[in-house]
Amino acid sequence: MAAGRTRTELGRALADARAAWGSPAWVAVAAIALAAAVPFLSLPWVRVDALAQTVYLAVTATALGLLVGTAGLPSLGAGAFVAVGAFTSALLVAREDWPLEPAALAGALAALAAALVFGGVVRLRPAFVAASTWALAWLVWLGLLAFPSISGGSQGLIVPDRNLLGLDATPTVHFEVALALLVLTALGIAAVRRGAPGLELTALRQAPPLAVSLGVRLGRRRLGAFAASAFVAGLAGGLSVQLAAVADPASYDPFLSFKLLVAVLLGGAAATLGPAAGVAVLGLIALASGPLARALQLPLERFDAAVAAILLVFVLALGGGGIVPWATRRLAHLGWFQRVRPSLQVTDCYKEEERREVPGGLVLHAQGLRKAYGGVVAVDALSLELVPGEAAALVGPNGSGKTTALRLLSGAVAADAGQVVLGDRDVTTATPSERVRLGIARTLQTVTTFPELTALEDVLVGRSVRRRYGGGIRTALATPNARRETAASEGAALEALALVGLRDVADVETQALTTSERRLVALAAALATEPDVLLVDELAAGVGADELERLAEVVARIRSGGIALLLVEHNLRLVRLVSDRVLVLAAGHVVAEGSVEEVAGSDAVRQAYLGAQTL
Amino acid sequence: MLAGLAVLAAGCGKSTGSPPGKIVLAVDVPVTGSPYVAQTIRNGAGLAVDRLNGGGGITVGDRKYKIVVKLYDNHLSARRAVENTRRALSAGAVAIVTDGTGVPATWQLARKDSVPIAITYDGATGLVDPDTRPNVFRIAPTNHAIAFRLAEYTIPKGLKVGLLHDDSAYGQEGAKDVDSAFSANPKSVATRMTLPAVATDLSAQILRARRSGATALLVWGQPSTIAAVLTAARTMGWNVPVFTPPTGADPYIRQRLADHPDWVDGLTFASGRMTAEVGAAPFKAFQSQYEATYGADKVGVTNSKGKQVVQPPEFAMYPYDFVNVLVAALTKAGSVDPHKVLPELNQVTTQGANGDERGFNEHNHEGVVDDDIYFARFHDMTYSPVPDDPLSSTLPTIPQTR
Amino acid sequence: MTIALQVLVSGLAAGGVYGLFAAGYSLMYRLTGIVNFAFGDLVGLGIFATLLVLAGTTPVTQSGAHEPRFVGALTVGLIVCVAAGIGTYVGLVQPYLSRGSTIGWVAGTAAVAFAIRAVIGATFQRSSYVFPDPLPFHRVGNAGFIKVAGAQVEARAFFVIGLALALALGSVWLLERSRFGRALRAVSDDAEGARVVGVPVDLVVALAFGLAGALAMIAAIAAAPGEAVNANTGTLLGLKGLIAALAVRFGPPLWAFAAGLVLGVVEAAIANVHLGSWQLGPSYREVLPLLFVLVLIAVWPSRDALEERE
Repeated sequence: MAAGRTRTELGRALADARAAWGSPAWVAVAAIALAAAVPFLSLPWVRVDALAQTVYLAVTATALGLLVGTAGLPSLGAGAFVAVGAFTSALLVAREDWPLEPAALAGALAALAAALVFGGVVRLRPAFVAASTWALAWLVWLGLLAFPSISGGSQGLIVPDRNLLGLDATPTVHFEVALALLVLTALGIAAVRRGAPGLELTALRQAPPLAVSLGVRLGRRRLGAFAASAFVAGLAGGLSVQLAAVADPASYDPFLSFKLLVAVLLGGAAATLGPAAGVAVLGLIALASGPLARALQLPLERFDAAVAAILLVFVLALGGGGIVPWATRRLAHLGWFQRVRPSLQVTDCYKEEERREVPGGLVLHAQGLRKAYGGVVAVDALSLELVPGEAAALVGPNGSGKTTALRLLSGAVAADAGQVVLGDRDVTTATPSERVRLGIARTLQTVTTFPELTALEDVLVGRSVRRRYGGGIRTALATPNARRETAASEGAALEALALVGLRDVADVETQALTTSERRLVALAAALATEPDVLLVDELAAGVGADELERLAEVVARIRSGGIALLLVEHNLRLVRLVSDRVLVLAAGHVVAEGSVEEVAGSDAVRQAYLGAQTL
Repeated sequence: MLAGLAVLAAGCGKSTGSPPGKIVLAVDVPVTGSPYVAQTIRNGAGLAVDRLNGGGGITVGDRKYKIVVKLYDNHLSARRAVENTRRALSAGAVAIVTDGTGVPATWQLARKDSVPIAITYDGATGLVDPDTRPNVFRIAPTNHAIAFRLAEYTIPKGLKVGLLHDDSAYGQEGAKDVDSAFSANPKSVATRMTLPAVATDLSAQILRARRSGATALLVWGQPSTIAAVLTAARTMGWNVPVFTPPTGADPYIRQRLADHPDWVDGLTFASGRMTAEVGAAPFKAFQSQYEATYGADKVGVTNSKGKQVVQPPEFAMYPYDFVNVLVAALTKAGSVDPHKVLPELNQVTTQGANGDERGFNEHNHEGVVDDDIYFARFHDMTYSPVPDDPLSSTLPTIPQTR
Repeated sequence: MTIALQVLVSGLAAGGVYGLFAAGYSLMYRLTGIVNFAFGDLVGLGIFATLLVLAGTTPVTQSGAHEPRFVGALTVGLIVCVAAGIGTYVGLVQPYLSRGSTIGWVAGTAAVAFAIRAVIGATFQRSSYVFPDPLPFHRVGNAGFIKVAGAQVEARAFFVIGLALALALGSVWLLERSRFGRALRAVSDDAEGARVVGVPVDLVVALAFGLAGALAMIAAIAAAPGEAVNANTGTLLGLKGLIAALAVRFGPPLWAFAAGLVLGVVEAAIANVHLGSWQLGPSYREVLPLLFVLVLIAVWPSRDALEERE
């Protein structure tokens, strides 16, 4: 039975692969074959050991590309992980007589451990990430210099000859292994980029608050990227150190980390093969600096490094998004490299998820919530209840604490006092992503969509919280479960878009949509998290009168699914159209609660609005 | 007829007609990282090469050759040294002159092609071993020799020595040799301390050394550390004699203490002898030749009579001497094939720049032996050999003022 | 006790310099949201520009300070430092900032740092240089050393501490009272708002960059005569200033200054700690503070350091 299933899966995978195979794939295979043949061509100016080291560098840079490009974390510490991998491997080979392969693997694991220890930095703002990883690079380098017992002192650790994969570890063997590693890393990174982890990291990069409000776990995802790039760096370091025959601290100084970052930037952080191209460009700059220094008649070779550094500054000052994206755009004009979009066919593997059992009573119960900022009380003694399928509106003048109330309910802000109970669970201390997981989702007032995603991709981010097989490794290996879930997720995302009436614009970039359409996309994304309670902030902002009917229809459809809604609204006509109940908030307190008619006639409400428009 | 043709052929074989061949000499030095050392080695080797080439080249076998110097920058990194060695070997280098960076890693590579490596700066122990590393030679004072001579010099005077070293690589290397040199006489050691190499002021450490009862200080470290030690000691009124390895002669110390020549007085350093039994003439000739080509190395201070002090080109002698030894070996081997040249390096001797005989043998690849280490003491910003050491008392003072 | 006092004084002197660097980093971060990785090397550039004017690349001695060219050389050095700082901002920071590209300015400032270090190292051959003393401290006490409570301390150390404090407090006064300072505060609160109101944001920020560099360079020059100066001097000063600024998560410049002072004393203490005959040793001097701050910021980030969640 299991064998039959495996065969079906393999068959399906092969069919997918054959469908996706096109001319770019043939070009890639040809390029790889050509590259692999280079050491055997005995070209006179080619030095295989230098080439192999360059390819190892490209491997590290490619993995760094995921961290820097997709996740948006400017890491100046990649060289530190290479160093950790290199020295662990060198110590094991030289002092404990290990073979090379397990030593290199141990180096990769040591780098991974280091990444986990310092992994907290991924939760910081990008500027802090840059500064912290810079400090890490210096820490590792200074530490190696200061403790010659580990680093072998100024002469370094001598790494004796070893076998690599059964063959004598000559530069040629290292070159082929490095090339294979580069191909594997690139394939893995590309798969991760296209899959759920890549989408979530991109979302975290473009609009962190929005992604977090959709339940994306910022710390975990970014740490995954950080750890993965550290692992690959450590592996490359552990292998290349044997090729270099010596591990000395001077070669693993902060300049290495800098070179890797520049390679990513030059080649294009957004493209999988960008960093590798960047490494090649750096090599060319280094080669060019010698003759250039000679041409400028600078005495002695000591100016080579200075000229190279200055050339780099100029190239960076020119700006641009990198070489590979530039080249891809040029080639796109020629009709190559069309952006291949995954097919949007919903497979029959998608099943209707059973609606979760909701106790017949309250789905949301908040009691006595209070929040004060310094001396200013934003919300005080806020209590409300929601039953499934209900739509309640929270209205009030500006500054009355409506958005704060939503923040308290969703967990973006910790309450000073009070309780929030979801179904039968007390979620007062739960983090926002946990609450999303437990069924309470929210749209944001200011940021509605991710700037560089299409509507479908945007909604898919919301799907991420319900994925079980969306992890990095599963995606990289394209396991059957991951692939099946991806197809199912797309189906669910399309359903959510259809519910808000935007199925046709699934492929349109959100930047090209109108403001109200973007709010609907945000709503669809929140719906994709399969909430029991939906907190909607300013759905009707910027919407014309004729569209209100449409919005009311959308709300009705959501309610019919059993989801409870709490709408914060300024547009009182929409409130009248959709809500069963209205709560009026003024200066952080609920001053009136009841049906629309009851509240409309209330004096307190009129006072709160100070004679503003009537219901 | 046939005999005539044979004579003709033999005549054509002579190099009068054909252009001189090329011998590649690789010089692998820290151009970036320690440019002054790199400059010294390059100049020393270059001086010898220019002299040989200027005389029409060298004759090896029955062909004339000119020596081409290929310069590589090892950035003070062992890994770069390995890369450079690979490049030098593929360029067909007949020998590699280096400051010593990366030799533990590069010697095996060079060994495969039987190419000799000559260390002309680094004196660290363990780099040279004729039995296991037959292609590694050194012409430079060794840390081991300097440490033992320092011990030999200070212990009989009854001094209690404070053994100080800084945390630079050089300091840490030397500390090991110093410790083993003084291991037989623990009573002569007042204290052992590690000093931070980049130090603003070492008063605390020197105070501690003084309190430990030291009557002399041995400072193995960078010139900046030695200067800081002198400053700290003299300002607290402690006129302790300070002994150092060759770094004590570095101009930096005199530049730093230019306002206090009396602080520099009494600083004693150990180094390789600049002159030989035959007198100062050969070295002076070498010095004037060096300064004519590269200019005098001004220290930047003046002595009490207002004359400019210059630094004699001591370390440039060593690569200069090696090139001459190498050429002698090439000539004796009659071939530029390294496999034939390497054994001859153990057989030849030449006259060094200072007039001494330079050469190696199967059991000794050190060009500067323990007995060649002398002591010099500073007075009035210039140094001269000390009178109370058997070797040093026989050596003349090299003029250092212009 | 005397050793403790020596550690304290020399630590505070070094810390004063670190503190000014830290304050500079904080100021630049609060103004623009960037970390200027080239900061330390820019100061190093200024120092070596001074040396270059004074004596070319030939050796300089302590007595070089007596030359009348010294003041001119110092001015040139300051101008070079300030100009390079402004140039870095205009050429490699501002363009990327306006595009919102973090990796751009990170790579740009780091590139400037490495380029300066490479050029200095290539031009100046020796492993260390003497920076002449602008003030005649060697006339004070015993060649610049005075006895305080049995401890031998450099008179210059007190000068450096005082100068650093004065510069730090002076900048705070500048920020509070002057028009320039108000403009700076407006920009750091809300750059777009300040632009709308008419504040020449780019000009103000560029000037601030230059000013930060000038302040740090003055402090570095005050301390430089006490130690060997080489291409790494600026880089290491910058690194330590950055660590101190990181420790306070780029908080108010005065806090960063205080963190720098603490760092200086901690460093001196680590290098000198002797428990009986066991010595922690100078090797730990730089490594321990780095490790501590890294762990601190990884494990316990403050709210403004954390990635925005709302």
